Amino acid sequence: MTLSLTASDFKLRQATCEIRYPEAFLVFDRTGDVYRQLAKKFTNLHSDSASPAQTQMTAEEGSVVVEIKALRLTDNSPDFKLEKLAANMATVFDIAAKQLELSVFTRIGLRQILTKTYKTEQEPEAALNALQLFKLGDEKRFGAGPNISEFQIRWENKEIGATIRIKAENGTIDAKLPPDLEMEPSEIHKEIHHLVLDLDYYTVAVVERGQWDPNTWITQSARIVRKETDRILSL
Amino acid sequence: MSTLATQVIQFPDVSRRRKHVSAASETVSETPKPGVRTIEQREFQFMQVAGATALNPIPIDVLYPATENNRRDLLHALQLLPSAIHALESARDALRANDIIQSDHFVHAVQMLLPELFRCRTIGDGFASIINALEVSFVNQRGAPLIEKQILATLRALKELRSRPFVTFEAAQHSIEELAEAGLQVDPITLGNLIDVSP
Repeated sequence: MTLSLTASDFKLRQATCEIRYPEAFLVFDRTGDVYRQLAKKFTNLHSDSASPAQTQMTAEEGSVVVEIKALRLTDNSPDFKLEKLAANMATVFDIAAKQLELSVFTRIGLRQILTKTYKTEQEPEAALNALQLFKLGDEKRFGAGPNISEFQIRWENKEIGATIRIKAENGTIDAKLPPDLEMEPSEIHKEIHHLVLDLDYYTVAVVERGQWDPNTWITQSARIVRKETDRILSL
Repeated sequence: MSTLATQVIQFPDVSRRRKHVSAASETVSETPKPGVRTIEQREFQFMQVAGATALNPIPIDVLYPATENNRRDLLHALQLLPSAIHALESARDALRANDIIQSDHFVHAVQMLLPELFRCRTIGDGFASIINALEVSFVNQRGAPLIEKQILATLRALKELRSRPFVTFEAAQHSIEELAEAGLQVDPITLGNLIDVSP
């Protein structure tokens, strides 16, 4: 049985935009300035950790990590078109590029993690195998059964690249609530059965500052990735 | 310089580069094979040859494909700029062949495209300031044909915009200074007259 899925069947859980650059030693001197300027633009910005090589800060807009060779913004409640991430990345990028004097980027990436929830443990793997993206047949492989539980495909040339990873995932969440809450039940147990779709779209060739506009690139890349993913999943 | 640059482009095998463990990249750890350069080595080489200009930047049409439902101002500008560049190259060639009239004819073709390019100024302040400076320069010529130096400076400015449309306002000032150094009057004459008025 083949089953067709589209990116719209999944819920977007997390989106991250990352830029990488040659060593920006100004990180040691100016991360504080980046933080101060960002605090004027973002809501409730606070620093989670600060070390010379890496500073992580979180605001309602998302979490920002500034490193000597990379900078990324992660949004844990992104909108489907990534317009929020794009606008916030434009803010972070303008400040960081100016303060750290970034002019060239060795990689710019957009990563999206989407999930589709199922009721039983067997369903995610069944859905994954129903896609039948590879003609592997019903033979037992490596003594581990004919079913695959994860696959990853990468396309890459000298300019641009993309990775699609799909994984059937099962897990549980166990939590004990503090007695002060006086809540019943005081323990939470939840089983999670997901099909995880992990999409990474990135540049391979160097990108110059005058070429890149976060607002344009992120929203456009989100569209490209969704369209291509739909085409692949419906093969 | 060119030999070094060639080496840098030949060696990196991007399909085998080491994966960085980070939120935005793969979490798979891959040990590089002997003889295969890692991304760090590529960047080191890249620094050694004096920055990114040693490696070819990504083509702008790959970064913003016209096939996608992209922002109209950007796509329109990216379509118009090659026409302007081609016309200016023709103007340069005609001038070198001592055909001033033909050269001026091509420069006028470029001038006709500038208002349309100015309509794409939402791309950014840098883009808008360069196009504005060109429009003003052409008006200030008052019909006089451009000399070769001016054509070349204009050509460089337009080529810069074609490959880096999101040029910052500060970086755009360098292009405008180049236009001025070539003898083009990049400021409106009326503005100059107002500044020159004695108190």
